[in-house]
Amino acid sequence: MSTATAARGAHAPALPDWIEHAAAAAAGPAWLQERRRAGLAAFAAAGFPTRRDEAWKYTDLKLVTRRSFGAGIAAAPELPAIEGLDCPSLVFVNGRLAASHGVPQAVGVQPLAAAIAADDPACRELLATIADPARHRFAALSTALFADGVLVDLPAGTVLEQPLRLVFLAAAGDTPVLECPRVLIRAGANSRATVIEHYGAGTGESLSLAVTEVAAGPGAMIEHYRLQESAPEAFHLGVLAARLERDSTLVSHNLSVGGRIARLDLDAALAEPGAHVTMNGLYVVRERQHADSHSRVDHAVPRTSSDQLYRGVLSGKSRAVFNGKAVVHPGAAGTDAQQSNANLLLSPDAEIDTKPELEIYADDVKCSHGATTGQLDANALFYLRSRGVDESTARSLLTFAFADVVLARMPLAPLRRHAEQLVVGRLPDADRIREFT
Amino acid sequence: MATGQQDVEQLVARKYRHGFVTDIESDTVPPGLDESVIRLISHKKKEPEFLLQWRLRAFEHWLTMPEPDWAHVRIAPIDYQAISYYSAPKKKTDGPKSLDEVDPKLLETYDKLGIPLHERARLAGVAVDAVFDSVSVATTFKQKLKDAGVIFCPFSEAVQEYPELLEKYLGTVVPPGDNFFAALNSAVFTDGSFVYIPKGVRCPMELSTYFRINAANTGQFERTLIVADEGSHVSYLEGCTAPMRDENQLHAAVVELIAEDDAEIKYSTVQNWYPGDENGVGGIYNFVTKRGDCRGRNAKISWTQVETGSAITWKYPSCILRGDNSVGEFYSVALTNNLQQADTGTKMIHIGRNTRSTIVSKGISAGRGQNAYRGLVKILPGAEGARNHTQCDSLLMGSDCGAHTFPYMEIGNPTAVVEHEATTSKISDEQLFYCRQRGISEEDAVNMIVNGFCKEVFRELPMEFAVEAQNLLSVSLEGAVG
Repeated sequence: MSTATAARGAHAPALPDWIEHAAAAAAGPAWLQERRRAGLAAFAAAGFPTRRDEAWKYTDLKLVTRRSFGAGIAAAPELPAIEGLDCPSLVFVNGRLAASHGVPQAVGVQPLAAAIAADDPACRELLATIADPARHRFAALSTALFADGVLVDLPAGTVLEQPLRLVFLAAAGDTPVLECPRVLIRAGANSRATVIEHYGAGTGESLSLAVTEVAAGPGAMIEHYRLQESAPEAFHLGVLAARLERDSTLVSHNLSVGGRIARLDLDAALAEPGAHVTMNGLYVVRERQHADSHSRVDHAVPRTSSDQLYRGVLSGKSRAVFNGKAVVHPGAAGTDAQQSNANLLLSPDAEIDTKPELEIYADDVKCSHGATTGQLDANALFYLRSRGVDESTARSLLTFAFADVVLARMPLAPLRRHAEQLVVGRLPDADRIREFT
Repeated sequence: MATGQQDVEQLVARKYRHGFVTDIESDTVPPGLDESVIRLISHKKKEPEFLLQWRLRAFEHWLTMPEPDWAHVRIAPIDYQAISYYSAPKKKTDGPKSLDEVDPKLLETYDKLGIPLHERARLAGVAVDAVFDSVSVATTFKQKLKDAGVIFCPFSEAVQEYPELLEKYLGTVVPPGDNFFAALNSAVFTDGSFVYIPKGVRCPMELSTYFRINAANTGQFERTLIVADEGSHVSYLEGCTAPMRDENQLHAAVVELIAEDDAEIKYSTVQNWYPGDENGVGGIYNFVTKRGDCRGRNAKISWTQVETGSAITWKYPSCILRGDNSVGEFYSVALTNNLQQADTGTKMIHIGRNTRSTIVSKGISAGRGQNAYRGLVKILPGAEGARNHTQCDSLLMGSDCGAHTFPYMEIGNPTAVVEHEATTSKISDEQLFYCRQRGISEEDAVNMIVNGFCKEVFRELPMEFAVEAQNLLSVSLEGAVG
């Protein structure tokens, strides 16, 4: 029994052995150990979620709880090619740094384990303080278990000219592997950066507890990409939590196409006036895949704004969940919160569960949300048919166009093209669509 | 603006119009709930054995159920042992045979409430089954309905006269163990209304029940069952007012609607229970389970509700669209002022092919009121061609109130088209200014804007209800903007 278990007291429910093992192996200075213990205690108290938990009503984790996850095997840290994208990159295998390509020392990017070992003040100040452990039990678990990750600490006024790419690969042997990639971004006043988190295909069964925390200082601008194309048998439970100060902006692009079960909880706390968050999300699932997108925006003070656009395309026996929530706190006058979710079901066995929520405690606000599920526009289909495109291709083209509305918002062209190819490859008549695009 | 402010204060201070207590001797069972109370209720009602067993099963199940806490409301704990579960006005003989025999004090009460029970009832073309506390005391227009073959009677009478119909339909839409409050109701319900429209009959008049809570400390547990047989049509009106109280009172009703092939049921509610005072003291807890089952092809069930009263409103009139081509509708205006809380909405369960549903919800929050729309649209895999449109608008008046939206959409068929739209707005200064500079007082302007906001729902109401609803809204809202 680890000390962590002892600290929780005798009455806490028992955790699976694989969690106890990973927790016992997790090291760090005293302040981190304390946070790890608190994280483990929070997770132990909450336990694995079941369908009875409102936040997990549509996502069943039985497949995860039935398994146990180990340390995985060594693998070559291959950088998945993205045509035309040449930028500093860090590659992690099973949650540990495996390769570094062209990351200059000066820009404030360093491996998290090294930063903690060097007692970097940003870690002590911010790590595990932004993602709310009460709301995100897997973020709490990640705090207890993570081994390594990335610290991006941008001093005031820093502008990263090139995007920073972080690649996370899972390599499982005969037994499933656990990885806890952890990213902490502190953006100083008026700094600018583009960060790409790329969860690659990897091999075998894995559980990824991927947690990213963002603290954006006054006037900072963070463009954040999240590409999740894990292996078909992977379980991906991610959390991205951000706190935004005065006039700062976070733009999140989130593409989820991989994994057996993939979930992302995206939280933005707009803590000071002028803060803005954009959340663009696309999930494309097929066969027995399950994708779950939860988002929450807290408009805590006057004059903040948010814009959420989520779309989904579902085929096979797949299932997707969207739960977007905008909370306008008392006194947050002048809030502008927009939210939209649209879905296409391509097969009779697919299911979408969507829940766009608003909680509003102030009157001088502009809030709206909309959600639709339906078919392709019959007129658009007719137009294409009348121009000699066969029905199947016309449908595929329109389906791609539906999804591309989200991808078109990505300013980084090589990444957008890569994302589009990922999506096209998952649609029927992929070759025909490629002829048109 | 100063005089406007004064008006506002006066209007806010206005006491609840229907706040009075009629002094009638009540035959009341002491507070508390156990098996013997249920046996007593059943015995007093001279119920057949199947109903007693049904109640006892519901009670047994209720004991095992936790009190739900998922709604977006704050509720002071309810002491179920402090409620008296049976209260009946004393009967002089075996019960009134006509209006003349009804206790004049009762009639006076209805008079104050403006219920068209006497001649006015005939003029208004309304048959009233007045429920005073828990026992029905007068029913009019029986004969006319009887000629059409329509059964419209107090529940307790239906138990005696039509036990076979009750046994066939009771609890088939809302099973006794459906939820905490439905189980409680199933165990202890005392009366309510029963309506049966035979095949092919179009009910000759609108049916109406006025509910009324009177004796102190009595919760009211009504049970309404409406069955529309093949090709029939009925419009049912339910309205309520309650006298002023300082204690919270629980109202846990169950309404079951059943529409067979080609049948149509239109159910309209104006709910004006006592909302508590401006400090949130007192007021009714309105925890109601309402559900309609479109069992047959081409059946239609339409819910319209105007909720202005109650300290807490917690209800979701729902439609199970089982029959092919069946239609469900939900039109709602919910208003919360002072410390009122509402968590209301609907569920549309699409099972049959080509089923359609429409949801129009208008929430108005004023003062420190909290208003939540919570709805479910579920399209099952077999519901080919299902269609739903949901429109969900909130109007906020003042900076201390809240408006919330929790729509659930579960879609399992690719041919379904489901749309949800929600907006949140406030009464803008520009709108008010425009009205003011054309000589319209602030109060009138607010009423006008609010009525416009609610127009889509009001036009679904039967005429007399629409007028009452507009008046209610004005009374409830006056002073909310100042």
